[in-house]
Amino acid sequence: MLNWLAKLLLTSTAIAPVLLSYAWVAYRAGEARQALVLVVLVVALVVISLGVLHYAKTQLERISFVATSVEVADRENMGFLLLYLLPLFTAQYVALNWEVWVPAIVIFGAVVATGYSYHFNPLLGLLQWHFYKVGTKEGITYVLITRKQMRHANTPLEVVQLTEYVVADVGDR
Amino acid sequence: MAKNLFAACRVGTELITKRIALHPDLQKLVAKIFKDQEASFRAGVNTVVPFDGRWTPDEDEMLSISVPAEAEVFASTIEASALSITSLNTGAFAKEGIKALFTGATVSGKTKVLVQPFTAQQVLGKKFTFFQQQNVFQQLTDPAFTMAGGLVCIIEDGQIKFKSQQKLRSVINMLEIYRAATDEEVTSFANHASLTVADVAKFSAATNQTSRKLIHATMQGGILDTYTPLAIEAAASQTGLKVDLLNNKIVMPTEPNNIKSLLLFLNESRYAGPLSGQAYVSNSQRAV
Repeated sequence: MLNWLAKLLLTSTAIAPVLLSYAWVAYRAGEARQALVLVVLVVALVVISLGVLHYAKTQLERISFVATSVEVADRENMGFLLLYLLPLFTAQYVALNWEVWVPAIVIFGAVVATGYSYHFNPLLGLLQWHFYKVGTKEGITYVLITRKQMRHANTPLEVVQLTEYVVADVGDR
Repeated sequence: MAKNLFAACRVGTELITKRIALHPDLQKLVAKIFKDQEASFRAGVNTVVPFDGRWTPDEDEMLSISVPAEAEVFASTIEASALSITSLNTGAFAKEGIKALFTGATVSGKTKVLVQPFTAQQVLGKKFTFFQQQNVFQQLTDPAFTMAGGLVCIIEDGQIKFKSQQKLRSVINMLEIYRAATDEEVTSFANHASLTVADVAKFSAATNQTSRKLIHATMQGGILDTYTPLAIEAAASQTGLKVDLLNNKIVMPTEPNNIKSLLLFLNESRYAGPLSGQAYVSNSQRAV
């Protein structure tokens, strides 16, 4: 298990689109350098996340996994969408109240991390990673990260465990 | 299909299982080791006989017992999703009370478990262990363990198949199984024409594993068929052992220690020193 590292990266990539909104607002306000820094940060987070997924595939214990139920987990989530878009509603970049925004994002990130909500992850989704909620016969629900399109619940998979309740599919596509 | 390695840990009187996380390359290697050990375990065996108290079967035999309640955890662990099995604390695995390492698979609804014994000697952290690195030996400071050279049992078809009771009892509690397996022989012994046993059930309950081994040896040796109770009583008195006779039959004592003393004598493990006449009890014999 990677635990805190995987949790931190998945949470970061889940809320990273808000940085793109800030980058857009900053760019429109003539702060191109800050906008570029934010975009680079987002790209770096995605690359590191993919690196972690690769590391997990090659270094973590593999486990045979058969789900009893599968539910698409990366559906529209209003909370995330509002967070992503809120910076756009700000009149000007200089008018952003950082004393409110920074703690708000930190708290949101903490809630996402501790509530295992990081399966809403559009950046990894763009790279064809899908997030599913999968149930086991023991009655526990895990978040499965995979590049496969799940068609049957009982498809045998080979997974690695990233955190307590997050597994990544490492079998052939 | 990935195979995971599990540990059976003795916690109090029950066995609990934990998952041992391995690097994927090592997982493949461990799976191969278990597969080879299974082939070796089954090699030359063409009969599986129900356990009857024997310590070792013949070369072409394996012994079998029904899976006792405490050992059901082996198959249920293999049948469960490995994610639901708690991971072993790798930093302190020497304190986990590991008694066995095992792996297995469920194919077409049939579960097979391959079990290796695990002893404290396999934990390398308890001793000084050296490993070679950059042309010099260094001390191993991280926790490490070795795998056993063979299987102790295979669990399949609701049976535990094994070759050595001694090894198997290091993994599961064999006391009740041994008692059940040898009850028939104990009863047969108690009903021998040269013995009188007041209460066979109480006698059976009073015999422990050592006594039952001695009963088995006595029956195999045919001592009671060869010598009369009178001759046995006379010989016993020379070693300081009082044997009661009733209607020309040996009266079996009721106290476990006295039972054991009589059984030791019947196995010629109690004797008088040839010079001093001092009574001795031996724990091994070698014919000369």
